[in-house]
Amino acid sequence: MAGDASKSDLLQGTLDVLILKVVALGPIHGYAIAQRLQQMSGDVLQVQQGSLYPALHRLEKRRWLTAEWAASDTGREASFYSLTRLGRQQLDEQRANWDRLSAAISGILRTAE
Amino acid sequence: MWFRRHRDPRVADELRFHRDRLIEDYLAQGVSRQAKPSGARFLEFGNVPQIEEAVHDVRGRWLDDLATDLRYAMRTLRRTPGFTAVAVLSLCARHRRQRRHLHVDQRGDAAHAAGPRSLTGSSRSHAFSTVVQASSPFPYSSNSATT
Repeated sequence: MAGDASKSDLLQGTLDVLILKVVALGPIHGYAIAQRLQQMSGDVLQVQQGSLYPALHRLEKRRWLTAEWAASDTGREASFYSLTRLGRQQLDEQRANWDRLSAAISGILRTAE
Repeated sequence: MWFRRHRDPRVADELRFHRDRLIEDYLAQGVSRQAKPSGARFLEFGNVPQIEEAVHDVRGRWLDDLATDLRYAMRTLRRTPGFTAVAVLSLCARHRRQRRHLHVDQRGDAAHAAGPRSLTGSSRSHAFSTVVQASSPFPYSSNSATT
């Protein structure tokens, strides 16, 4: 959110791994992905459509996700995303990268002055 | 170019679905339909045509890439007419050979009785003669035009 310091800006590339994680839980449409990310982050992360949909289609193009149109809970058709085997590998790799990176940054930031 | 204008209408459907669900959720939370959305909420709804453009940029780029690759291939083929002629002629020869085999299969036993050796022999000599034509010093474009 613009000008709101309490809301964190997502690091470049972080959104991709978060999407992969949420989609790994089961087929889900874009709106529900945004909702789930907001809930899981305790309202810290709010993903805008302008970031979410280009990312979803980029991941689909890389064949990490597949999209299929199906009826949503309201009966209206929506595009449901699922993780591919390639996507699952990516999730594991990116999660390992993130663990390494965040541990390194935390180590630096926690160094006593 | 036609494929730059080609748009998957489902991208717009997907974005409309998101926007409508957002509105429904706000209404369910008791936000009045007449309430003027704050700056933050405007941001949340997003500029749908702009987002659609961004999605098409991601989705459509492979078509542009393909067009670029094809243009590059055409330019390369035009620059190397000798290679192009040999490639085209050998493809034609192969295609003809395959068609003959198919024809033989369709004719069935009668064709087998005629003997496949004579057919193979003739197609082989045909392929050879086309290659000889292509490697002659005459302009290759006229060779490929005759096939």
